[in-house]
Amino acid sequence: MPRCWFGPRRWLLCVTVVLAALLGAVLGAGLPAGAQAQRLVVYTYDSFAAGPAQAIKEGFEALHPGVEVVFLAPGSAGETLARIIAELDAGGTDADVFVGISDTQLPRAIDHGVFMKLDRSLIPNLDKVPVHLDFDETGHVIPFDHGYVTIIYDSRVLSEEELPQTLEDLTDPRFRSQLIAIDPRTSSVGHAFLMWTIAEFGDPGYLEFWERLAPSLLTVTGGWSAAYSQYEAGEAPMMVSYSTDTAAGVYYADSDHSRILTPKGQAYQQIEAAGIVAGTDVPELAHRFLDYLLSEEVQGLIPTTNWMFPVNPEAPLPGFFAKYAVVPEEPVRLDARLIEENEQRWLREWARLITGLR
Amino acid sequence: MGSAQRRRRRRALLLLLPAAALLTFVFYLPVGTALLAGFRDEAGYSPARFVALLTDPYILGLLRFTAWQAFLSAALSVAIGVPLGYLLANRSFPGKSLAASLVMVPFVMPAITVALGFLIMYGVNGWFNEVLAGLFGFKVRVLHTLWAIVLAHAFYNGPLVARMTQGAWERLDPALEESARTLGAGPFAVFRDVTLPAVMPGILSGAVLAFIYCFMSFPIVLSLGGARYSTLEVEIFTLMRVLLDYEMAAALAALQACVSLLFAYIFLRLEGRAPYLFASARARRARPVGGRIRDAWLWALLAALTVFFVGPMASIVAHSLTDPAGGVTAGAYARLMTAGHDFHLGAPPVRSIQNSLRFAALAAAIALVSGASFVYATVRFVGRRLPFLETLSLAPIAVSSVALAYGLSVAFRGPLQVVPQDWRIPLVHAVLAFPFVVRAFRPVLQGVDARLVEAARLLGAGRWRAFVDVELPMAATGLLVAFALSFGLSVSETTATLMLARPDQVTMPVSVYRFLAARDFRSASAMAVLLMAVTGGVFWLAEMLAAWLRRRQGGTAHAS
Amino acid sequence: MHREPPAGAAPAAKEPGPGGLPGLALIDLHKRFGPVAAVDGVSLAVAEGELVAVVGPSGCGKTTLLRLVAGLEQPDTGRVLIQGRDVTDLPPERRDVGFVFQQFALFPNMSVAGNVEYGLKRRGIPRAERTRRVQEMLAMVGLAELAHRRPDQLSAGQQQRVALARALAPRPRTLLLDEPLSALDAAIRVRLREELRETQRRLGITTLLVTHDQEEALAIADRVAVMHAGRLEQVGTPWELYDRPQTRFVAGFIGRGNFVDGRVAGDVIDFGPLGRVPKAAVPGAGPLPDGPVQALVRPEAVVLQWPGAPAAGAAREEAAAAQGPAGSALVAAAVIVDVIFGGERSLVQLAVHGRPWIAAVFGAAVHAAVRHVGRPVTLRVPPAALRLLPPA
Repeated sequence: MPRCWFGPRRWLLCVTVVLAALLGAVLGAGLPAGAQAQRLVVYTYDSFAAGPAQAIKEGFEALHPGVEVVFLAPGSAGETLARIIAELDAGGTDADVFVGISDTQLPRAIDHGVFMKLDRSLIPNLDKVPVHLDFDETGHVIPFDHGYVTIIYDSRVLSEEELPQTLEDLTDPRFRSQLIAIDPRTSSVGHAFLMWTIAEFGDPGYLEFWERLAPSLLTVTGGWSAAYSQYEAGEAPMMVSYSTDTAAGVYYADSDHSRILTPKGQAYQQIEAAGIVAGTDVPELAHRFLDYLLSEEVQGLIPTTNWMFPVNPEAPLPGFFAKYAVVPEEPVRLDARLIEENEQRWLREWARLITGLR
Repeated sequence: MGSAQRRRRRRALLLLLPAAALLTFVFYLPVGTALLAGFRDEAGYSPARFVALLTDPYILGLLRFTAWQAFLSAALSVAIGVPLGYLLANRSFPGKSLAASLVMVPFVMPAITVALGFLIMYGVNGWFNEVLAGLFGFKVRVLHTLWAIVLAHAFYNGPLVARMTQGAWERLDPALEESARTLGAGPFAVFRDVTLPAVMPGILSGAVLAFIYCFMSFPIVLSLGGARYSTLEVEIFTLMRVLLDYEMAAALAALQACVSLLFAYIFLRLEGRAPYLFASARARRARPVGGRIRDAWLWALLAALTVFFVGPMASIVAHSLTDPAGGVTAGAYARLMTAGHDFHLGAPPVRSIQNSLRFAALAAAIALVSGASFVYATVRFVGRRLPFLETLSLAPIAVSSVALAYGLSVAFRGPLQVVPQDWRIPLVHAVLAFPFVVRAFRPVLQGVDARLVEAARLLGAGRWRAFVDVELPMAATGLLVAFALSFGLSVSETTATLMLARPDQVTMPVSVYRFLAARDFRSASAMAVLLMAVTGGVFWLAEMLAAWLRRRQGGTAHAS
Repeated sequence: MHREPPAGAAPAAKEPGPGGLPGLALIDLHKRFGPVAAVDGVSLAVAEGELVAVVGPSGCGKTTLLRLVAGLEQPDTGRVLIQGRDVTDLPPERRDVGFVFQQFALFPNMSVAGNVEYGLKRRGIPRAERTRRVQEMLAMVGLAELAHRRPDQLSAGQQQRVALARALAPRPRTLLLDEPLSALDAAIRVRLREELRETQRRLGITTLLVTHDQEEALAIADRVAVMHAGRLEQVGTPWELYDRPQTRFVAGFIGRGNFVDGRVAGDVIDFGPLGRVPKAAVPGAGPLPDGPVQALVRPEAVVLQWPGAPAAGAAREEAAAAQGPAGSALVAAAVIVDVIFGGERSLVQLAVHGRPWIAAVFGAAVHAAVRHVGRPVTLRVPPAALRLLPPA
């Protein structure tokens, strides 16, 4: 070894010191804040976390000092449900409340015992919700918003005359590779759309429909965000989405190029619900949280942060929202019992079909 | 057995302890229990489900497709990686040192970033098609086809093949090629008769490794292909996380593990085959890429490689700096840096950067310690190669990360709940980085002549002293590369982190997902750019440090 | 004292080969690597069938020179001619040279026979002829029964022979050897260099050999070129280099010797404490002007005289001549420091006026030297044994 001051031992020492310092600094920054008095852990899906969650957290904490609301969004609604179920199976979950389960996925959740039965007396705001939206007869969840799943199209690419008038129209060769669909196994939007096709074409007629539809599909993405980014990038002019997308476009980008299709005046109605996770240690607080979700304050937030319709009719709708958000004349919904019995089979059949149709 | 022998054995076992602990508790036990669920029956355990899978035409179709796309992807990775490896080993060209230090960055980029870059670059309105349309008047549909998947896989694994090719090429004794020439062989005959046989094992093992990766790939297939291009891993994910059919998912994961471990074993056999036969201590002199006509194809190759690798990454950078109207703005970055942008729920974006760095530093440290001690034990204490042990150490890349994450989520609530929260994610990352530390460090340690250590010991140095004074400085470059790789892998790990992290443990890739979910595509790109910058920065730093070390030592690290 | 004549003049070859063209001609070759001039104006002619060894210390550029001839490097300026044909612009595969590498460079993926056959294949020689020639070459180097072994199964000596067979199989016009024996043990080295020489003579192939071992060069080469810092200092037969070195460097590099400093003054050369000798008695001293001068004395020319005994280390006649005209030999008092036994010739290390000297004694005379270790002896150098060197 050459003789120099900066010999291998010193070098090693220096590097170790530097690394240790770095590590210490970075680790030190990670120390969490001191624990609060009471914690309410809310599991939800990612766009909800990005949307109303912050405002809801601040509002609820203001009303209940000493309480900390913690949101966790492991992914889409389907992924979040899976996470809760996995945690419950493994012994216990931190979640107290699950916000964002869709009505089509509820049977699966109840099967796994995700929710506890609600004490509706602790949720006074529930009385304001119209009966047809309060869909859960088993008393496990409350609705907090609803929307309509349908096809949206880019009006800059497709003119009025070219539009499909029915779901069957979508299978026309002129729409080859022009529709972005979403995987019903991982996404509640995709799930809703699948239910719509089952409602329209029956079982097993829906499989034949999808077979005819396949050439029109550009792709089937895993979630809504992936579909939307491709739609926005101009990959295809149509995608499965919500009827509030025009409004969202106006709000964010001052553009109404995304328009809503209502084939035969229809769209599939999806109701999103929230419930209290079984085994929670703060049931009373959780009930109050659910009640807060239905308050005018929060419901008034829903349109511009979650891009759905509030369930509380007293909540104000922003003007542009009323103008651009579309309500179909004939909302479609599949019977909950039917879904409960057949969902697993439907998803499997659909998956087998679609992977064979490249 | 004499006391010296006993001491040796004790030392070897002690050195193997960190690796054994890490792999057993953070990998084998969780994975084992998860996969075992696939064989569970009402009456105990039976292979019935496993057998049923093997006869299900749908599953077989998935297996076929998974293998097919993996094969195509590996082939394209070789087609891209070998020329790149050739250039890095034999030629000098402007920007070579930068290219050499950053060549592994694509390998450690998270899937969402790659998908984003490909979308921006190869989309119907992406600039690739714009250029094509401008020059030739037509566009190509790349995305949502099998080719998008294969291209993206080649993007990831091309650098891997390149590195292994480069290594094999650099070790090739130039005298062999020269003697062929003096015997009358033209350049093509030299390549066919001398170069190719020497470099082939490196290429093949790179190809097999790429195959394994593409076989196990999941987020890329989903984002760039869609649900129609389902692979085994996608099916496992769906069964486990969506349909909640754990038993079926576990059985499928077991099937998948059998196939990929088989390929892992093949890889190890290929790697072991003596490329030393062709090796020499004399360094190859890198010929510059000149201005002659003969070199024109090399310039074209360089240009094509640059476009292929830099294109998607540059697209993301460009995307992050523009606003929807088309103007240039750094607004996305400003949004990232404001502490008030709080939708990460208790963790502002800056916090996700901190988390990523913190986890990565810890993960790299754990991986380095366990990997280096494992390598040291197997190289210095165990003379021969043990393929079984090797396969065990390679397993983390050949087993479904979904199954691993599931097994861990169960374990962290059960036997592993003593592990503090802040250590969980780094431990998972360390396990995933472990095979790479072994691969990067072992050849370097083997290159340090054992006689040098003996000389030090005869001069009075104890084993630890000898290690610090003799082996460590020489093997330091290997450690640096291992550190950079582990760090990069940890920073970009997404699947397991998504499934296991708590709300305040948001990392950079998870932030990108969240931004995308919030429709804030510019911020997603900006965060992706930061991610690339961090990864690239670490690699570049490691390369600089390694070069400095090499200069200080001068000459080769092994006695001739 | 002259260097190799520049290009254009008749090459100082031993004898021109058939046809009169030198087998290999290097004309004013230059090659730089960055700031370093590895080959700095080298011209050399090798006659047809001659074996020339280029010898020099490591880093003097001799390997580069060889690679220039082979075409593995391109010269900055200068030309290479093989049998009169200018090959400077030709790639190696078209120059028709055989090259033996220091580390043999045998193809590990081919058998011995495959290696030897390789050059023949490249030249498109049909299979039957190839097989015949391979057998012939392997028989020539004595490895016929190892034809199907792989290189890594051979000893170093065997590998070297295979490398030689491989290089010679295509019957090249020139054979180039890059330190062919340095990777071998001492014992095999001597034996193999004899074999090399014999093979080369038998085939009559023009050969250029590069080595750092001057003993090897002197042993087998027809002529030797000493290379230093990119230039050829002297080219000549082994005896010429040994007996009449033209530069200080060559004198020190070839063989062993003792250096003495003196001064030319009038018609004597004064060597200080060693005495003075008439200028006429020293070969080549005639034209020298007055001034400082240095002389080389080979060990075997040193005469040792034991106290009280007749002169040892030389024949009696030489002793008588050394006495010659009184005071015409260099004389000094010396002390024997050590004796290095060497079989037929042993070396005696002496201290003369504090400076180290070396003398040779032959055969049984070594006993006397050993008996006198640590004791004073008288040292005599006859003036005819002095070899004058140019000033540094």
